[in-house]
Amino acid sequence: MATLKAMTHADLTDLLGKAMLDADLRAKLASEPATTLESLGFEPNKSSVQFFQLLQKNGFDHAASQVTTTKTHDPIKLAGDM
Amino acid sequence: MRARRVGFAAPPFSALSYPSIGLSLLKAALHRRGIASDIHYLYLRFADRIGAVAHDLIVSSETYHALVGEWIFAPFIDETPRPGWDTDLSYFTDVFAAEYPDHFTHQRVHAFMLARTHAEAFLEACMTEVDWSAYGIIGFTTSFQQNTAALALARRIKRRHPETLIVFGGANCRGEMGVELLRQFEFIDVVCTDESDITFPAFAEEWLDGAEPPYLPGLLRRGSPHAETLAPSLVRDMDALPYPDFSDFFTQHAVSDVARRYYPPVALFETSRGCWWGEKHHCTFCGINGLSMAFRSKSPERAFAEIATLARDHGTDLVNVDAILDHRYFTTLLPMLAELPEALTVYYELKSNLRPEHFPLLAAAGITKIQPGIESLDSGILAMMNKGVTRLQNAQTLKLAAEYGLYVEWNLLRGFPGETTAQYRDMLSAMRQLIHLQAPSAFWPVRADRFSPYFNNPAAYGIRVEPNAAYSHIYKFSPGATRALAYHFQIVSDAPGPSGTVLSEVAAACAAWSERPVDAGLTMADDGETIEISDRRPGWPAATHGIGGIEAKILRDCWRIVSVRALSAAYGLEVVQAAVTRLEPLGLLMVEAGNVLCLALRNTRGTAPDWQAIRDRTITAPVWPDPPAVAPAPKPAFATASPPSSGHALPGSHPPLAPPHRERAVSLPAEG
Repeated sequence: MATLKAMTHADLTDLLGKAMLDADLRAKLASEPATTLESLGFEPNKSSVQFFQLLQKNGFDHAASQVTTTKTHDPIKLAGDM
Repeated sequence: MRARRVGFAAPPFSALSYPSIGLSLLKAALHRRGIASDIHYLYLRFADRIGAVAHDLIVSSETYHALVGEWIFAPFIDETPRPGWDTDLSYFTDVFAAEYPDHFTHQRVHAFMLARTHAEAFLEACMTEVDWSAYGIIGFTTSFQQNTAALALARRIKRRHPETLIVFGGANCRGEMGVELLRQFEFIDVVCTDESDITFPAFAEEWLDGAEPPYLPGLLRRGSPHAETLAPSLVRDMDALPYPDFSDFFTQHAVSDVARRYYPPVALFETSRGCWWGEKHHCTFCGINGLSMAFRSKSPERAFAEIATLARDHGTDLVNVDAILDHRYFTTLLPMLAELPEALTVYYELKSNLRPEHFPLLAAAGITKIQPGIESLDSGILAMMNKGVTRLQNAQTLKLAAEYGLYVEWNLLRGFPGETTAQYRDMLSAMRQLIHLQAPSAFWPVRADRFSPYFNNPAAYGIRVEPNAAYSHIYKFSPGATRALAYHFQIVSDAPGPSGTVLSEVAAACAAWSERPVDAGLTMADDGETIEISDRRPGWPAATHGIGGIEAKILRDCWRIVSVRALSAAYGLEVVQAAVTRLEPLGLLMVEAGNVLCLALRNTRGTAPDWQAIRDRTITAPVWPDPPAVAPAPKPAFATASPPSSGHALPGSHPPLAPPHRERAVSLPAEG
């Protein structure tokens, strides 16, 4: 079994960015965060699991909590579905 | 040999439309002494890295007390970031999601995380893109969410340029906070713990000339030979201040990719310091004036010259930074501004006990955006916070602001020790009546800022104050040191407060108020005989009320707050009581403590105008016949019946709603 690594902020940023473009990944992280994180090679510690559970309360699985903006010119594309 | 030039850093995060007025004043003051300086607006540079949306989310007032901007740069204030800093999610689970559960969304988190992943590279870029070795002194301004970025950069500069003097100033350095900064961060050489308009330039001149600076009050120096104190060095003669030099800001704003697209630059101006109200009655939660409550203001001539010069040099959008408007300006400065050939758009903070005659003066002077500190629509809660106004006065402010085309920036605050469910039930009724007027921006819990009465004497209010939860995720010091660095505190009380149900209802009512239909108005049309009131407010039956006779006269007189006693002197108590009894349930009158206010607007719009209409100056003056003026009648006691005296209106009738007169050109005096 491969060694699991602690999820860094950079990993989480990358994961959230991917999840915003991938409804299936969002749904898995929302419904089964521990299993999904483990399958991605991250330690499913209590804090990271709780983090996704809290996100789910605001509709993470169906990306319902989008920020609306007219400021479309951004050096960083924040979210693929924004 | 010390480089005889001063560098200033304005670190992330700050509003991208605004320069730093503190640094801009110091730049001008140094210039008077022949010392050149440069202000580096690093918050513009960071915004260019992370983009407008992420920046907006970080600085959003909706989630301000989570201090996410401070969290972003927190790991980098240490020489080596603490182990585990980049895997720790406890800030999100324990602070942000706990404090703002409805705002804990993946897009926000993604934005915050992206900003943090850029923080260290940004700091390194600041080191290479600016030649810090050119400066003998480098001054950092830090207010609100600028502390950790300032500390992180200052450490790096000091390590690379140990000969350079590092000076900190700004609101985060006031009093005990400044002492603690000097104690905890060895790379800081000097802290300005209060106003430094006089002391910093004097210090800089001596230091850059290689001399030993003398003792300067409020300026703490590591290893100083003097016995230093926190005694503030207040500016007594406000006219002696220079005009702020915003040249660096406008130059850097023009090349900021994000700022120039989305955040039009404005010039800031200052006409006073301290608070004349706070000198007598300190609002219980307010700490904005720090240790310098003493009110001081510029002469109207000096204030006018500065405003006119800034408008000429930078455009006509101006934002004032005073805590409160000098009430003497209504008869001095404001008429002068009204005579300017080009209309200004000015933002001012003032007190909500405005008199009716003040509104046309504000409008004519171009002061079209005001923050009157409304805070609540319950007189009991307003008394708890020592505001010195009533619900009726706040309602009058909202109403007359709408009539005169003024945008009112205001919030509702909750969480005052001793407030009750009944007070919020009562407030819901008031909100329903006022829904055609400017909506509150938010319904927030009150905080006990440092220097506020709640902070200074919590036992007197039966409360405890604790640093915001975010601070323990920002600074890794002892609880005592963290408390000494903190500015924002939360109120902890064992007393029962209002029910969660009623608070949820108020929050929902605020949201509904903000989203009311554009035509949700309460309008009155008056042909001199009959008044026709059109009611299109949500929550009220759509209706048109025709009102004549004495009721119409009473309604006319109630365009401003008027006492039932005064109305009774003119029309008779029974008549007045009958009218109030009929009109109040229709939501046309607001009645409180023997005073009455008509809520219908005397213009065709019937609702508070939006900002675009105000900017376009499309607010038209209503046609409103002048009622005959009469001498004040003898005032009988409220409960005493008095004979009717029909045909008389009350003294103090409304001022004309004429557009401002703008013909005379004004020549600008040179800076003194």
